[in-house]
Amino acid sequence: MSADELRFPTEDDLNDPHAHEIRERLQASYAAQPVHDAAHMARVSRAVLASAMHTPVSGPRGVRPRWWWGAAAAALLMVVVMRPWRPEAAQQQADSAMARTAPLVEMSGKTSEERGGTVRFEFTLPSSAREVALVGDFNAWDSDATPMQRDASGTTWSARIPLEPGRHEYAFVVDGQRWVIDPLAPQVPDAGFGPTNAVVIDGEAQP
Amino acid sequence: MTDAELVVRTRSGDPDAFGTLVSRYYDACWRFAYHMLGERADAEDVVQDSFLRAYLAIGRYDERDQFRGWLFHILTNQCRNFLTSRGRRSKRFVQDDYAIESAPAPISGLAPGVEDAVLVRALAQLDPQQREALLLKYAEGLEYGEMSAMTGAGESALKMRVKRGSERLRALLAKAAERDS
Amino acid sequence: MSLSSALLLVAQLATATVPAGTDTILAANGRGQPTPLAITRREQVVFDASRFDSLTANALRSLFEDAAAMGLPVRPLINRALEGSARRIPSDRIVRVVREHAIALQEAKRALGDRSTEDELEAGAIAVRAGLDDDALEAVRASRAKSPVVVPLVVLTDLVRRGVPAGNARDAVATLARNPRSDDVLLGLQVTVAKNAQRGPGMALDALNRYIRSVGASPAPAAPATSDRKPVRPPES
Repeated sequence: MSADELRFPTEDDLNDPHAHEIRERLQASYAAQPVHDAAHMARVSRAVLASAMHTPVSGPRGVRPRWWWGAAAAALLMVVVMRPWRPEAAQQQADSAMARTAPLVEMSGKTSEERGGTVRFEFTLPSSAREVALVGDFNAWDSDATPMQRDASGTTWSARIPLEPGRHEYAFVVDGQRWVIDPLAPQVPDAGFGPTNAVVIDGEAQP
Repeated sequence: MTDAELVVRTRSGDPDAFGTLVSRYYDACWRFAYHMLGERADAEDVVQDSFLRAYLAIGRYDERDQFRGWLFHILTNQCRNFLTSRGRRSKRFVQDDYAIESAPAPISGLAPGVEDAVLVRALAQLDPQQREALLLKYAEGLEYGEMSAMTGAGESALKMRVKRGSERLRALLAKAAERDS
Repeated sequence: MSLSSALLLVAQLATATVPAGTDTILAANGRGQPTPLAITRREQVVFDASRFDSLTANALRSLFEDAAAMGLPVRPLINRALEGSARRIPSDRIVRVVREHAIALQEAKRALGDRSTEDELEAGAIAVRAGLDDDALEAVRASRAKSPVVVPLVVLTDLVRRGVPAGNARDAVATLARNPRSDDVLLGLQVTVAKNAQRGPGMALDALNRYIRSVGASPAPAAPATSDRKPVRPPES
């Protein structure tokens, strides 16, 4: 960042008097660009698919893909994404191109039934969180109802609740506002709110 | 068919679904890349590379994100990578007005039409961060919040870049107009 | 909403799950009528109308009543409304989503049959929303004569979302589900496909095929002889 970018800006500084003129000119230039025809796009798709066939798939079988490296590496990737202009970061940028627009947080979860009809929910977040709550159709999705406890490692949260047998939906609320789900557990697709997870508790009568 | 549905089909390996996504977003990606990189062939290479990376990463795309935004994040990263490595490979007289006059002619085969070659060459003289911010803000119409997520820079810094870039661009364009008249 | 009208609504909903003259398994909470095999009776959920403005609450109540009149389970609809309010979704979207979900429940009921449990209908509605068609739901239903098909439906939905083509997913699940004790095997398939799907396009189907081969196409894997409760997900393999 240049020196004057570090100076605290006033409203005047942030106001661009040429905005209208420059915007118009840029948009006119955009509109004047040639449109590529279907044949060109088909060529591009074919080329991409052909390249993809030859790209080795990374990661040992049956284990998480290589890009899931755990907390430190994920944090490092984020730092690199935040500073795109350092030349030495150019190669790491190549990997960060695969990062989502939201922060790259790798999560994992687990549910297990225990004696007496309680179910233990575990959820691991590689980045630190102040609080994590379990929400679901068993507590009216109330993020105050079932706060989770953090374990000694600082990254795994757990909660135990009684759950009646059958199908339930749930999710995790991080720091009171971010709803996240276990990426590997069965998902309930987004219907307009965001996805959740589903779990089926055993105990149904078998014939 | 929505982007999300096309993504699900792409994950199944359906090539037509991916082809549809390419046709949907190719021109938008190319326009940005062309204005960012200044060369048609470079823009084509970078756009194709971005689609390849998107295809390989499609398993990780989260449908809570807008597909276009996700794709553009990949594209802007690829443009930056390209400029960084190009900068190291060859010396560019980016501060030199000489660059405007001696820039190579556009690649033939595409109709020249009413294209604003002066604008593209002037853009090429801007600091890349300013150029990117200008394009994202004025050409792509993004909000500063979206730009911040995409570039990693804070909103104030981005506003500063847009303002500086806009001033410099206007000065370059005015100079070019003078010369031509 | 006053306490007495809240109680009235709960009572109405409770009785509303007992449409007269049908054989639906959802009947008879506390009425002492005999219930068919393999039911899960679920706790009622109270519709906390105070979470919504009165217009929205009224719109939702009408939806719940209409659904009940059509013999659909209301609990999933109430849950969805509560979820929307907890996520601070705008009211009009909540109403729209609940309505669409009621429609999906109706389609699931058509495909899965009137004797379906509430959980089966809910899992079926989710499958419908994920793009699965009646054939797929019917195939799952046909795979198990008397046991619930909740887990097969949940797994089928997830497979399709990870990129397994619907036909392959349907055939795999219907085959595996034939053994009524195959819920663990089905969940194992779900996790395996989920992990592999992240690695790239086509990986999900690839993983499904490998898993099916490894457990054998025969629908009778040996079940562990234990009286302990099974874990909800099989151990990491």
